[in-house]
Amino acid sequence: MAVESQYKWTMVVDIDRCTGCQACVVACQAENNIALNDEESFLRRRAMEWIRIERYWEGEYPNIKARFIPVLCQQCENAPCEPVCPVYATHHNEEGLNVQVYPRCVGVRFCANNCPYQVRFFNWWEPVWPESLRNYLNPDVTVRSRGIMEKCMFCVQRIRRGQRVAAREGRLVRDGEVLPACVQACPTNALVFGNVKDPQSRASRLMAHPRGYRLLKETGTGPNVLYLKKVDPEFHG
Amino acid sequence: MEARERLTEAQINEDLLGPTLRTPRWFWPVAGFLASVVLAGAVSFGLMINRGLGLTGLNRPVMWGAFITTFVFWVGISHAGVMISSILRLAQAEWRRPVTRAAELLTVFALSTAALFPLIHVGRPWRLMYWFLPYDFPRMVWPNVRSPLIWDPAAIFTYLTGASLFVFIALLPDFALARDRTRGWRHKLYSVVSLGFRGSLRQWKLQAIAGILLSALILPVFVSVHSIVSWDFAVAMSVEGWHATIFAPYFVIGAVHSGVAAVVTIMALMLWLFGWKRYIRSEHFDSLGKLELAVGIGWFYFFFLEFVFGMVSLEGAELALKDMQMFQWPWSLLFGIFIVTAFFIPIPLWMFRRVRRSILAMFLISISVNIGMWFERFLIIVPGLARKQPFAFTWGSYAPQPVELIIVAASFALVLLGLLLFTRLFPPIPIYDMKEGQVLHKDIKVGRSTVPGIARE
Amino acid sequence: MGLVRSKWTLGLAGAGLLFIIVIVLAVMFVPRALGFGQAPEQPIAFSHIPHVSKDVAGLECVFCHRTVETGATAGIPSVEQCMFCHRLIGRDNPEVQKLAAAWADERPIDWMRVHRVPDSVHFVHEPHIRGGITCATCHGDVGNMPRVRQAITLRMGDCLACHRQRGAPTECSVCHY
Repeated sequence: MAVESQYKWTMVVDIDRCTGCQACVVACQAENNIALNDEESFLRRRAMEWIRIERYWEGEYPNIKARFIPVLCQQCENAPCEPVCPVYATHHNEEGLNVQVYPRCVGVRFCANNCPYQVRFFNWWEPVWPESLRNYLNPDVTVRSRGIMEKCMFCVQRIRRGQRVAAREGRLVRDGEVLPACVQACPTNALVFGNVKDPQSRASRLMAHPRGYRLLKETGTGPNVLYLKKVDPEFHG
Repeated sequence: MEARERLTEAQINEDLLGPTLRTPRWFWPVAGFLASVVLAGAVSFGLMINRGLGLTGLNRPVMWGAFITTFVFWVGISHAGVMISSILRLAQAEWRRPVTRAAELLTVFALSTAALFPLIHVGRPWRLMYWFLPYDFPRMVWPNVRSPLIWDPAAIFTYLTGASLFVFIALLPDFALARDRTRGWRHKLYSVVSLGFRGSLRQWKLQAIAGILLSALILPVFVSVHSIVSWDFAVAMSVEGWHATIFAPYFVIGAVHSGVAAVVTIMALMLWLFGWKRYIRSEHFDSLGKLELAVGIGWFYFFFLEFVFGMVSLEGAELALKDMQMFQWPWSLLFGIFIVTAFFIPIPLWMFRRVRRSILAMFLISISVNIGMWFERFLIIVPGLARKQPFAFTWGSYAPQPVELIIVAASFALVLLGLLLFTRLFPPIPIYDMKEGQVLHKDIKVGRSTVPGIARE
Repeated sequence: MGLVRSKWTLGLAGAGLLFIIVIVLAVMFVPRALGFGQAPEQPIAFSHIPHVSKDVAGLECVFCHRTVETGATAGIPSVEQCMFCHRLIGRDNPEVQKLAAAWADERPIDWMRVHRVPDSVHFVHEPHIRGGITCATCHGDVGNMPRVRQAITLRMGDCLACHRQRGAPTECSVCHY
């Protein structure tokens, strides 16, 4: 396509607002038909959480604090997962999303090895849902079969829907019109989603925030998700 | 050097072609056993397709495990053939003659087995047409040539084609020989595969030229194959311990180390199974031992350099990874097994002439080297993944599960079975080459003693 | 010199040729064997011909498939919608009587689905209709089919050919997510 896209999606994660409540994790799980994680899948390190809350400790006992950081696919500009896929099952689209093409994936898992954020998940088994949950599956999202990778795509199904509505009305998607499930569910508004090509969007205005940083920026992946540092008067920085 | 027996052509024909035309008594039980192991592997693979890769021990940080280790292992073994055949042929090393075909066959069978592993390893083997057969004209969607996983099949299939041609060219005169001495279906088979080789001067000349040309042409492929396999890891920026620039030569020389050792194993087995003590003599093991001594020390140098580069970088994660590989349980155990079996057992022992000339000792050492080299690949692949990145929550470990172990065992059985079945149809020692050696053979007087030498223009 | 032209080499070549022929035949006929191109039997022997034909009812597709301009699916008309007309029209037709019976029992009709794309494809009718694609482009001349059958394979190659021709997006995540 010669026409440059009008959109470049991004997310801002304000660590200062994050309470680690995991509402985003649950919302994502429900929206994206992610297989149920049972105890065994956690013990064998095969749990799937497209967005997860990492918890870590800061300081020495007794001055110790629990910290949370939500980690999701950073939709890297220079994503390490993309060049290693032999079949182009993962690639960058014009809207800045790192998309995973489920029917194309053969499951070599090189992308997962090469992802520094560990946000790519492999379907070790055929996912099953109890009978009572089958009708809760989201029809807009493919149910992934065994043997393929899956990952966060900023709820691309919602973006596509929003774009269709906008196209029908002959306009661009408005700021806040399309929200990924995690952003929608966040009770403290720690997550902000938007189009950085729209200078008026909330996300755009946060881009130059003094607390902003990118996760593992030093690896050169060019992450598309901006994190805002924790404000903590008790600790320096 | 011990004096060599002069053998008549009829004697050579009888000795080398005999075991091919008459099935030894041990053959079918052994082949049956190997086939059942292969079958167990096939069943495990079927189970994995049916249930999913959850049957393996792989998990989120460790996405690659025993299958990729074994893949690299077999590609490594396959480097023996060209090393022995092509390099020694070009160097006109006389002792290569009985060794060459065994080495080439090992290349072909090890490489074919290695090529199976990516298929076993992937999540959806039934979608492989997107990967290996990129002729998707209706959709015009092609594979990603930036991925080392596309370079890999290209390198392997080139090498496999070259190595098969190599074996075939060298087999032509032997096919013709077998054709003239058999009847029935064997005669028909040999007639077809010998492509009308009648032993005219022109045919011999063409055959010799083809052999030399292939030797020269396959050398760059030989270097490229394991280099490309090493790039499966070396281009991965996110895994500590993988992205080392030294990987390509380090892998190639490691491959030769394990490959030549595997040739020693096969030679000893051939000697014992077919009783060819007049053809495979301790001087061959002596020469292979000397070659291995040089290769093994060279390999250790690269291994050491890789370590030093890791240390010199003073990168925290890299140092922590090396610490884990060497000192943390259970990696330390694997590391100990690896370094002892691949280096500290073989290298000092190969320095002794008596060890190099003892076939049993060489056999056991060669197996020890390959045990060590399997663990070497495992220690390169798995620990780096197990503690990949700075998010402590996602570190993990990995232990191969029964399906993986069965499939790995089946791969060994498959290679052995392939070699065994091959000896049923074709002679595993190049008969014409042995005769050529006999013709060129000359006793040279050095001072008072007479030593066997070679007459060449 | 050269290749021996024994009957064995010929046999080998013949086997190779046979192999190629088998592959070609498989590629040609497997889709049919898998059910493509067949018209499933419907609970009511509904025919588009009288509905669409200019001489009889002369309806537009959109008259019954109402959500095609706004939604993902074109929509199968409800029993009630059929009954708007069939309360009066064709009451002595046995097939229409089946419809009337369903209406009386307040149960829907289990139409068999004819056109289906894989689950990993999110096809939406609305933008295609907005882009001026006619129904017949993908569905064939349904108006002349006594029983609806799939006339066009609707494989990804078909989608892509049209998308390329019209400059529509060919990026994977437009359809696959």
